[in-house]
Amino acid sequence: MSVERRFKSALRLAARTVRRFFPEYAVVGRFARNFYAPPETTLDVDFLVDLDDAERVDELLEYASARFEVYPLEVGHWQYRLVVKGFRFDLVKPRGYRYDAEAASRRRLVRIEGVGELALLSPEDLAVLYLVSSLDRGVRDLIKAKDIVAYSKARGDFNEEYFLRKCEENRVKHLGLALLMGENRRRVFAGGGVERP
Amino acid sequence: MESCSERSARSGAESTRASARVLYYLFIVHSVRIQEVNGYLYVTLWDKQLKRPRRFYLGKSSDPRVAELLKAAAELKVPREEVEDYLARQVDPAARTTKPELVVLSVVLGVLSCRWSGGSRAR
Repeated sequence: MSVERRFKSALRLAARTVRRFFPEYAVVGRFARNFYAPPETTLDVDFLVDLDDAERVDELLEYASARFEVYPLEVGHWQYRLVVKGFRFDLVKPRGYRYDAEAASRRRLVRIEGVGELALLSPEDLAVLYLVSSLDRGVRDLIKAKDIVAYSKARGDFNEEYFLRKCEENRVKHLGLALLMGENRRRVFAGGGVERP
Repeated sequence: MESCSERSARSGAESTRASARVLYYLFIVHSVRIQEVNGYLYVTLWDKQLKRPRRFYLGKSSDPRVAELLKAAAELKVPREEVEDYLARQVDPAARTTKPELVVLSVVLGVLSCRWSGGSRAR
């Protein structure tokens, strides 16, 4: 079986398992980012789930550990890893980020042949998540947020008002405004026929 | 009653104030000026939602990481040519996202390159 087919099969199984216990899940990380900006290579797929819900986490661990390699096996961690057919799938709940019902309702459903439907965090929410994680991880996550904003805007798929509101709720509005400042400045220069900075 | 010259002087002063306000707003909209006050860092940015300048606290001046991050955020740019190339070659027009096969390929290539370089894939 080719690597691609094996990955698709693994992703289908992992998504089915996550969906079974956390129907409100959202795919995040670089795999989700790659749907909104030019793809960069990655080694895994991250699922955002409510890891504070100990009961559901316990049920998932029991179910998944009978089928795949899973670690850690105890409830109470901020990240879990499933290894399905040799591919990594992480369950995460990023520190400092608020994933609420509104963000869940704005997820994007994408269909991948051989996998089925996957729910991605919206471009606005994913950019906010990267801004929050940049406070710990630095500029590299800021660059990812910028990519999502710039390319999603170019596709006509970015709600600035909603993005800023979520930035405010997650206490990163200053970063969101600064990120948009570069965008708008370029638009002003490009539109005005003046040299681009 | 107000004389004609007084009225003209008053309107001149108002117009100067308005111009100064416009210049100030333009400065705020297009700049990131970090201020240090009593050992704490602040920045005043144009809040697009409130449509007025707003001051944000950035932490202690002994730890300027957030201030540096903010400056970096304002400076980041994506070249227009790269955006045009992405739109032309990599976007699925029906779904308005990157073509799913390219996203799958990003994992396949990542895993293969890791395998070839001798890295561990599973952990």
